Amino acid sequence: MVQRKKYTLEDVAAIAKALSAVHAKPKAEKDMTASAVVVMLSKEIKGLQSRGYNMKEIAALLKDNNLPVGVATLKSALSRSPTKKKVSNDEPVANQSRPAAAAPAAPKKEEGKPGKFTPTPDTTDI
Amino acid sequence: MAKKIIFIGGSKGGVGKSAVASGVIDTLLEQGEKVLLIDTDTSNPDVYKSHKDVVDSLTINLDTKNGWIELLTAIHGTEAVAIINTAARSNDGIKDFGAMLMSALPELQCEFMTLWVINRQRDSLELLKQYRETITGAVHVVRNLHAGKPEQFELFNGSKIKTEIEKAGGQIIDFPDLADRVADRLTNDRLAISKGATDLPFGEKIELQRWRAEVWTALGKVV
Repeated sequence: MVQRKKYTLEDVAAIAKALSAVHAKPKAEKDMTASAVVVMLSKEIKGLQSRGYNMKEIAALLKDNNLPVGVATLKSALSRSPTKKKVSNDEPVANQSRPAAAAPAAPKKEEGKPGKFTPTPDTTDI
Repeated sequence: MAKKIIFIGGSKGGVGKSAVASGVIDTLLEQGEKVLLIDTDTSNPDVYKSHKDVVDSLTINLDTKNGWIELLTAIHGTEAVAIINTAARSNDGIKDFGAMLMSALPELQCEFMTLWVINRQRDSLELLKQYRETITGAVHVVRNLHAGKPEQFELFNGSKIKTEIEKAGGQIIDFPDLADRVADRLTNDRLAISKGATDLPFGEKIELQRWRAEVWTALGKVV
């Protein structure tokens, strides 16, 4: 009769710990265009805009960081930056490029609310 | 485009934003400036009600993106100094949409400042900290002396935020206190300061004139 190996809970814990420590498989080497890189950096770039930097200044900052890109390319790429990217089920999650986290969207119900308001007139019988 | 943009902030109800806004308008008029008032307090647009016949005035809701779009259009379309009186709890709208104003400033090419009105309570400072996470530019803190003497603002006076404000070039302005009966009269009768200075009974007028001169001195340092 074949003697099956038995495992203890301690064995299971040790295996679990070892699996958790396994590093993610390295991403496949993939050449990306400057536009694609700008799309991935859209969150950081929008952060710069909110801090008062214009496109020309942002292009200069990117050039200082080894990403020479013109203002036109910058604008075009940002206009294409997705808010959500469809995740493929075929690749392990670790290998998928994740889009920059979008700024939280304002509640949809606010979109239609008018920008101006009419003050309520004072009553005459107060 | 606006000559200058002045946000009257504080976010907290009852700190005296409306009084400071009225003081800023009056100080600028005394300097000969043209003023555009934008009152964004949807529940209590008292500055609008007091000044709509005195200066060009608009009411805009900054809880909505459309409101910020209207605001930018109004600022772009005027050559006056734009005074924006913000509402209590305005920090939410600022957090959601304030970046629009920040990104427009380089194109607007005008000075932008915030007068942040405080009382002696902690909330004033917590809200200022939140505000500065979205809105950059010069911030001056206005101690509303209706809440006490300058030295009584102990929490603020010893705070890190005071040091940061001053290091960034901001000033600490003491907004003088006005006798309650005169302050109430201005608010309840919807009087701009200039109107009160001609229409109030003599004794109240004298008190108003005293206060008005102090307001001009205090606010004239920054506006």
